[in-house]
Amino acid sequence: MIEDDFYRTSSQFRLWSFTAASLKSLRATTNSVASDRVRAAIRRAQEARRSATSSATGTPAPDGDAGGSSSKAEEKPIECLTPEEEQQTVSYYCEQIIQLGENYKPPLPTIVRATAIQYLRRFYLTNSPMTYHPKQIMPCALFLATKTDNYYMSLRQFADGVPGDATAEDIIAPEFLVMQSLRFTFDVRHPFRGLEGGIMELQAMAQGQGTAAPHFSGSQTAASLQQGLLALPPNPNPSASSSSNLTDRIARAHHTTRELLKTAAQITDVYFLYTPAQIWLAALMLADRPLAEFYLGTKVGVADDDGAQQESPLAALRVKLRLTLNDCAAMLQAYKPLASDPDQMKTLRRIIGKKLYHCQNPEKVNLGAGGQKRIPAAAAAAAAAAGVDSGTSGSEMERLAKKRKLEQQPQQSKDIFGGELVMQRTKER
Amino acid sequence: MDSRNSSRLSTSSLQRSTTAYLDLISTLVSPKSFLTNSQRPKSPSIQPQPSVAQGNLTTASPTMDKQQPSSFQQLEKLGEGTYATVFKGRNRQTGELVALKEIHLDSEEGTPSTAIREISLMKELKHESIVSLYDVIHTENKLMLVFEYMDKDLKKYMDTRGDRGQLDQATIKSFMHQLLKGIAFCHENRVLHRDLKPQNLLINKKGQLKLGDFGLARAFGIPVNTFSNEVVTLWYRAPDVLLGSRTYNTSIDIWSAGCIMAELYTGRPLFPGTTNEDQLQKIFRLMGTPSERSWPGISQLPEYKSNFHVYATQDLGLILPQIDPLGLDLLNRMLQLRPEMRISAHDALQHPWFHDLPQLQAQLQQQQQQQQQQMSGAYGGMVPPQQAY
Repeated sequence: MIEDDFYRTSSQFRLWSFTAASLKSLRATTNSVASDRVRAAIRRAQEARRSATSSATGTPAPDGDAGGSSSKAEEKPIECLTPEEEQQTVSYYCEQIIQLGENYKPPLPTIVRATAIQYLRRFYLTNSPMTYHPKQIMPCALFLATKTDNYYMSLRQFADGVPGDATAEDIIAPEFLVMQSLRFTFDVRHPFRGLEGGIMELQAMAQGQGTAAPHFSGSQTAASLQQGLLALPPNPNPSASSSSNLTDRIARAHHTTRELLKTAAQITDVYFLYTPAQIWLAALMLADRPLAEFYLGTKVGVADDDGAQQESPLAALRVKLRLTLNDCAAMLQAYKPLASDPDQMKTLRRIIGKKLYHCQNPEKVNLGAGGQKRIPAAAAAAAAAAGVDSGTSGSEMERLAKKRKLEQQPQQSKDIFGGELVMQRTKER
Repeated sequence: MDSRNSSRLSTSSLQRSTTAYLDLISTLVSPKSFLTNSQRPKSPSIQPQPSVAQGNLTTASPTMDKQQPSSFQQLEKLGEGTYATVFKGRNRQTGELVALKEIHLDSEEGTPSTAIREISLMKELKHESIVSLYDVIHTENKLMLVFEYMDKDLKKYMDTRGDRGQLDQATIKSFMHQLLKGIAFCHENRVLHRDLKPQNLLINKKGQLKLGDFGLARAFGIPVNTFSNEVVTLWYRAPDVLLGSRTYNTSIDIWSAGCIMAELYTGRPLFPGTTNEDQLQKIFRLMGTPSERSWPGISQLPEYKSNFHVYATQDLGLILPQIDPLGLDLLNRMLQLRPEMRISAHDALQHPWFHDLPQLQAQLQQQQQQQQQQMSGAYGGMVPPQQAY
């Protein structure tokens, strides 16, 4: 078997790889299902509130009376998030994972944060932020990633690093829900390891110790590879320094690529659309295109090698690979961190601070609190998701809705991750 | 179990043969193109949610691609450990036997990380020589892993089957081949098992051997907290690990496989040490005490002592009179003190000792048919301690 065969057996390929179209349609479905449920749940909560009010005042509540029409008037249509808004919301919390990782001493390893981000992104392929607010899911995804990636940390220790007043119990509450949404596949194939291998190869070539690819053993030698590297045109990337030292150049490309993999590759859809090898090669192209082209050339040849025989399988592969890498690189390049972009933050404040607050499913707010145990919470959520509304009576629903109001309104400023947005909104006024 | 064996990078494919590399060109397609054809992976749909039926485990499985909901009848307990209890179970629809590994969730930490890692690895490693994880289901307050049912572990098998634990040549060869196939598959997937021992190898009535228990290993070092009712065993641990090496690799599993091979012949553990030092001494007494000359760099290892008692290398054949010369050659290649000298699982599978395996297997099949009849007769009262899931 070759590496690609192994990759094809991975759960990342089997369950979490998509075409752009299938990804879009999955998100649209998730959004529309969640929107319907939110509308239904809010309607139920309103009805429950009405019946509670009328019975409390002792007034009989005849159907279709004056009470009915006035309540209809107060009902505003519920405005739900669009799939794009959902995605922006999730991206914001993915960036927050990178930030949260810095809160620990020592900071959480890149790989743990990257795994957690992919968990969050996978979770929100089949769940909507309207159903489960990302601020509740995000810490749990990160804690789960510490378990998968062997970065042992007690829940208490972990909870101490999470800002706001989320308790250990709050953090662990959605664990089963998250595990289930991940379809119990926890292994994430990252592009970092492949990058390390490629850089090691390039450094060996720079030192004249490179090895030719088996199918080029006739034309490539350690010396020719070194010469090829030395003859490279300078990196056109404007931020690149002009040092002519090859080792430095590779080290800088390594660093820039790694940064791209830590940020752009995490927050965009590239993991869903490309293989780890394609992702790191695309990032290397952004970091130092001539170097990346040279590296690719050592594997798949360059156009003039077989100019006469464009029909060769290598030529076909080259064309395909180039298109794929360019698409992936374009996606990586288009990424702008949300937090440092005032325009995007303004949009986010509208989406998360305002819109999401009004279209949050009232029946899913309490994941762990309220004395529910971890698994029953998830089970209840699961039952509700399956359309079984049996356990939740009208008054219970009203209680939840009230509790949510009480909990969220005064505490918005302290709210763990949405808080910042809300605070900024208040300040601006 | 460690999937982060960073010493092997994805570039290793480049070192393979030219033909393999050119195969790549015909088979490699970008996701864009292969995802649009009919074989594209099924997108996760809105998942049906498991529900709990009284006394039964029912699931409309979101974790498997089975369309039918399945339910399991819980039968007798097979084993108990610190983080799980294993029951025998029966699939109500198909009648198929399964092993139900119930994960205890009463810890403060949510789902134990050992369980998370075991599930994680088992979801990736699908191979005939690795025990299959069929499903993950949840009930009120526990998590249940549904594994393929195996009749007993290798230790128990040797106790009940062999002549004072010794097995016949054909069975030994067949087991070793399957063991090495499972190890090779793990290693190709950049996974180290790190805890191979007879209790972790499972046997079924078809004479199949499969690697089990991928839950106990840690990222750093070798796990010391195995099941509470089991003595922590050092017996299958490689000398480089015992000497404190932190850069061990796939070769540690090969050492374990070598120890297991010898045990299949004798019915007794090859190096039954009691402490780290005793374990090293038992190894050196047989394999010879290594030096800087035979193992460059050994003196830099944390647990290396310049005053190790110096033993001469013994002939393994003397303590394994039943072994044939080819088998002895393979065993010696696996039990190399110096990790770099140990044979890889892939190369071991090509060893001439395995060349007559097909003939032996035909022979074995006949034997097994007889055994199966015997086993089913004695089956009623037997409760194998099946902890290795």
